This record gives sequence, structure tokens and C-alpha cells, in this order.
Amino acid sequence: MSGNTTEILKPEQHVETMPQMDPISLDDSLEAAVTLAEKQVAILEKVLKIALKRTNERDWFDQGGFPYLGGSGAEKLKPVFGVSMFDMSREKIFSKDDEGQYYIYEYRATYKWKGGSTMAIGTCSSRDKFFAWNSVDKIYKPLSQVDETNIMKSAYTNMEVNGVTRLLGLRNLTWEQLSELGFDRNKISKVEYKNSKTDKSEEHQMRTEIREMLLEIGGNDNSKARDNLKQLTSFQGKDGMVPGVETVDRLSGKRLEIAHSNAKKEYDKFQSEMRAEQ
Amino acid sequence: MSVEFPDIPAIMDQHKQSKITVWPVRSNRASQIGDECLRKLVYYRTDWDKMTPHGLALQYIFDEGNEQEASLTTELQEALKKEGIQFIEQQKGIQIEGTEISGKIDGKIARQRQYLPTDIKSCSPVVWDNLETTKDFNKFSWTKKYPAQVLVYMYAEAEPGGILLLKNKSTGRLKQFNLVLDDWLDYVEELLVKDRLIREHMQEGTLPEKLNDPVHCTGCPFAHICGPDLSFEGIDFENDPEFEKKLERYSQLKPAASEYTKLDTEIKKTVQGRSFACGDFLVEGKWVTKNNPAKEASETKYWQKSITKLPVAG
Repeated sequence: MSGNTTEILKPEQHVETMPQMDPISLDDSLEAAVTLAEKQVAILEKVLKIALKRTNERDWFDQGGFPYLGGSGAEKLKPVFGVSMFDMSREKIFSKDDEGQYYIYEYRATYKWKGGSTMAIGTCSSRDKFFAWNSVDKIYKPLSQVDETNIMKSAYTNMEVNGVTRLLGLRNLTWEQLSELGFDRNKISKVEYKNSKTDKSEEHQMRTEIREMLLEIGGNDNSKARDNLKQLTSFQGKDGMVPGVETVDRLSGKRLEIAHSNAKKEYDKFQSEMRAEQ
Repeated sequence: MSVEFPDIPAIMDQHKQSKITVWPVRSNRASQIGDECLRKLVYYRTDWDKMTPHGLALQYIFDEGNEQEASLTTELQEALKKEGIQFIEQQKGIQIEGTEISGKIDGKIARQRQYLPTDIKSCSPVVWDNLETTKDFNKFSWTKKYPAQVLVYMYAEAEPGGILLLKNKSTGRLKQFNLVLDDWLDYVEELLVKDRLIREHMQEGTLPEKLNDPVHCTGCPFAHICGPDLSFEGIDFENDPEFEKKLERYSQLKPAASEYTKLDTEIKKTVQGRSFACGDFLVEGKWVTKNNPAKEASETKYWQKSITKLPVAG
């Protein structure tokens, strides 16, 4: 077969954490860069088609009107595409606020695919409303009543989904893209929560995205990301300046939405600066 | 008046879901000791509470298997009785002395002062077709552990023989696998070493090396605490327009080819041993004798291809 595998698979600029491997910078020719970009788009389209063939409606969910790949989907796609995982580590981070002590599980692993790699992070807190909210008394359950394994598993799954979707370019999808390929939105489970304007799972996703965006801006440096978060979430209140938070788990509701929007703006700015440098 | 129908499958799902529980593991279970991952066996003992519980689908499979095995036991007893054979010591707890290996046997086949520890397993028709000899149990990750379980019972009870009875879940038919302890002594020794290593790791608070096997580790209930390094091969992306054209043509012709094969089979049946005219067609034939050399039974390996046309946008 006269297949040219290396030529198509070389571009790795879609792997967000590896801008230094950008193949476009290797060639000054604009024409070559355009051809390469077109090939990348073609590959990503193919990836999406194969991903849809290899998963079913139970592997996806509709969250806030957007399609998201679930943990079961990520698990199915790893062997199909050959997404490898290495050097997993996990950390249990304790913190305290007005409502008492809580912890966050943070998982990290390196994911590799066709020469590209990314460090994926997955988190879940013992304050995750899905696991820890007592909806009757409208308070968080005591830590002893929160199943720690669920928090660990959720953080791990979050990392898996982040690693796989980031490498394969399966993020920020729209229903239009999926329905064009024959995927039926009506068959997908909708994540909905009663009595909540913003559903909890969506909030979880937003927190994860803020964390990832800020970490990337800060070159994967936790303290830089924390400082940035603190700055992004501080605001002028009625009685003076309200200090920002140091962890995304302290964000919810409207404040979370604003923080997400601000982080997104910062991230977009960061990305365009990166592109300009290239 | 409108009729309200209960959603029975959903009710059943909920019921099954409520049965999914993680239990403390206080010994090296005979049913698990054959697992090839020593690290997993240590986790069972030290981190059982962090184990991912099995899913709903598996709960259905387990329940179905338990029911089938229970009903088989009853019928088996009746059938054996007619032959003067007894099925005794059902669900008797066993432990290998000096180890932490324990389990419960389904029963013992008792005949002429011979007592054969017996374990009953049920399986899908596909698995059933694949298991002919005890060697075949290595074909599936879960069946790999079956012989170890019976061997542990035999060793614990100092019985020289044991039986593994396999029931086809679809047809109800049985297959019998006879195990002779003397033939498996090296393997039993391995199981005993495993038990010792598990205890040592527990005592020292250490863990064995990771297995890092994509097949074995995928779906492991301890993956989130073990974090194995997993390399998958995955598909390649070929840029070969000529071959793509072939595949396109192949997928166009496939429906016609299937129809041709179906018609050919029907026509062959109709014309066999006859010559005749039908409409504008003359149908003739002759018997041909071919001498085929006798072939020994052998295993063949082939690549089972699957070509799927991907959806086209729009």
C-alpha cells in the first residue's frame, strides 16, 4: 500500500500542550502550511466519524445543549485509536472553608497519540454536589457520608475524558456536526437537574475547564494558575473589593459562570498570542 | 380511559442496581487466585473498599448465572442419583491450611469412595463453543481463573481429581472437564506462592509491579488507584486514493455479491444431478469426483476483516 501515514499524522499543533512541536514552523511556505492544516482538518473529521461509529448514544450526553463524550466512550476510543496513558499520579488535597474541611482528588497522566502528547488533569471534590449534596436539608453531607471511592473514580474518569478528547480533537463539538454524520441527538441522555438554573454536572465541567485553561496559560504551574484564578475571581463589591478564590471548587452559580467566561477570554487571548508567535 | 403501563425493565434495572455491593475481602478467594495480576490480588485485600463495583449489565449476567447453576444443581442431583452417584457437601467452605486461600465448593461428586470436588459454571454459547480442552480456558480473562478454583478445592480436600462442569446458557447442554491434581502440581505451587506473596505485600505495605497489559487492565476495578501504563496500538490513517477507490467499489458490489451467493446456493440445490432447459437458459452438469488427502485436525489462524463505510457529512 502506498499510504503516507507519517505525512498526515505529523501535525501536532492540535495537541494543545505541545506548541513547541508545531510542524508549521518547520516550513516557511504558506502554501505548505495551508495544505498541512487541511490535512489536519481531514484527519480530525475522520476521527470524529470513527468515534461515532465506535460509540453509541449511551457514551455521549447532552450537557448545557452541547454534546460531551462520557467516560465509557473515552474507554472505548482509547484502544480504537491507540491513545496510550502513562505516569498516572493522584493527589488528595485538603482544604477548608466556612463550611468545614473538604478534599479534592486530582489525577494527572500523560496521554499519547501518534507522536503527540498531553498532560491531562481530572478533578473531583468531596463538595461535588452530585455526590455530597443533601437536597432535603440543603446542606453538604458530612465527609464521613461521602463515598471517597466515588470522588476518586469521578476524578479519574474526568482525566480519562479530558486526555482522550483533547488528543483526538473531540472537544467543543456541536450537535450540527454530529447530526450531519447521522448521530441522533434525541437518543442522548440529557443531564438535567431540578431546581437549578445551571446543572451541577455542567458546573463540574465548567470548573474543570477553568482549571485546565488556567493551568495551560500558566505553563502547568499550579501556583501561577492559582494566582491567576484569584485575580480573575476578585471583584468590586458594595462594601469594597471581594477577594478572589484559590480553588475552582469554591465557585458555583453566577460567580462560576462569570469566572468561566473571564477564563475563556484569557485563554483565547493566550492562544492568539501563541499563534502570533508561531 | 387511558391505560398506564409500568416500565418493567426500568423497575428491574433499579432492583438489580440495588443489589450491586462491594464486600470486604478477608481471604485470597479461590475464585480469584488464578488471576494473573498479583497487584490486583493485593488490592482485593488492602483496598477492596476502593474497588469500582461491577455494572448493571454484569449484575444481570451474574444473577442469570447463579440461577442457572442453582437449577442445574437440583436436576444434576436427580440425574446422578439414578446412576448411583451422589452430589454431596454442597457449598462447603474450604481453606488451604497455612494459607489464606479459601472458597466454597459447589459440591463433590461421590462414587465408589471417590470424592471429586466439582464446580459448575454457566457461559454464553460463544464461550461454550470456544472451550474444548482445559487449555482453552486461557482464551478469556475470566475463564482463565476456572481451573485454579477447582484445583484449590482438590488440594485443600486432598482429593486427586476434580471436575469443572460448564453449562451452555442458551441450550442447557453440559461439557465436562476432568482435572487430575498430579498433572497440575506446578500450577498449584504457583498459586500457593501467590498466596504467600500477597500476605508478604500486605504485611510490608508494598505492592507488586504493575501488569501494564492493555487487555487485562482495561476495565480493572482498581485501575483508578493502580494507574497502569497502557499502550494501545490503534488504527493507522492511510492516504492511498487508489486503495480507497477499491474499497468504494467493494462496498458498492457487496450487496450484489451477497445476492449472487444466495442465488447460487439455491440454484445449486435445484440443478444438482439434472440437465434441463428453462426459458432462455440451458442448464447442464456432471458429477466430478475429487480425491482429497486426509487432513489432520489443525488450528488455523486468519484475519477476519470488517470494512465499514464511514458516514459522509450532509
